[in-house]
Amino acid sequence: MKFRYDTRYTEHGFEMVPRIPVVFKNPRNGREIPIFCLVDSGASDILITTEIALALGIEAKQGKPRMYGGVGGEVKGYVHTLAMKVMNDKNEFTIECGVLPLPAYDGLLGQRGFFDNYKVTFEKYKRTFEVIARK
Amino acid sequence: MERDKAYAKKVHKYANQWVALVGQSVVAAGDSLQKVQREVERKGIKNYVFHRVPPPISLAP
Repeated sequence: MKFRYDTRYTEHGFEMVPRIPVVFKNPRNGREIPIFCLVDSGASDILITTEIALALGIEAKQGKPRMYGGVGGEVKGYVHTLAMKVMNDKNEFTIECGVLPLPAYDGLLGQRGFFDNYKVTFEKYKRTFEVIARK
Repeated sequence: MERDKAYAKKVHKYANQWVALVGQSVVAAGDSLQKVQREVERKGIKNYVFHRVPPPISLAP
């Protein structure tokens, strides 16, 4: 599926960021939530902020603890098993997802779970990128 | 591109809030995801996606 880069306003001008609508599902209760996530090849895992986990009926601290590091230092997250698919795509994958407080983000689609399952081709100079589920 | 910039400026007004988007339209907004979720359900809106609008600074994950 082809997507246009999302445009965001900053104090330093406009930025283009690769975001896609993804549906997360809690397999234990069937609850689903669609989130406009950042495709982030620099993130180790798929990460969602605690509020999304709550909406899925997940108690974050019942997951497996895992430490995450970024420019802001280290933070403890909790890994849960969820299902995910790109909105309007038929392919669904079971993934491990880190739940943690993300002050500036809602969801990040990182290497483990997302890039494991999708071919991603960035063409920023065309303001587009493509995301294709693996066979 | 001008249309995208206009959209970005419009969404920027909701920095640090949760919004529900249908295409490039903000159909609901609020301080919590739960509140925005309730609003889209109450309005019977379909094909929405939730997004927490980041602050207007450059981001470093």
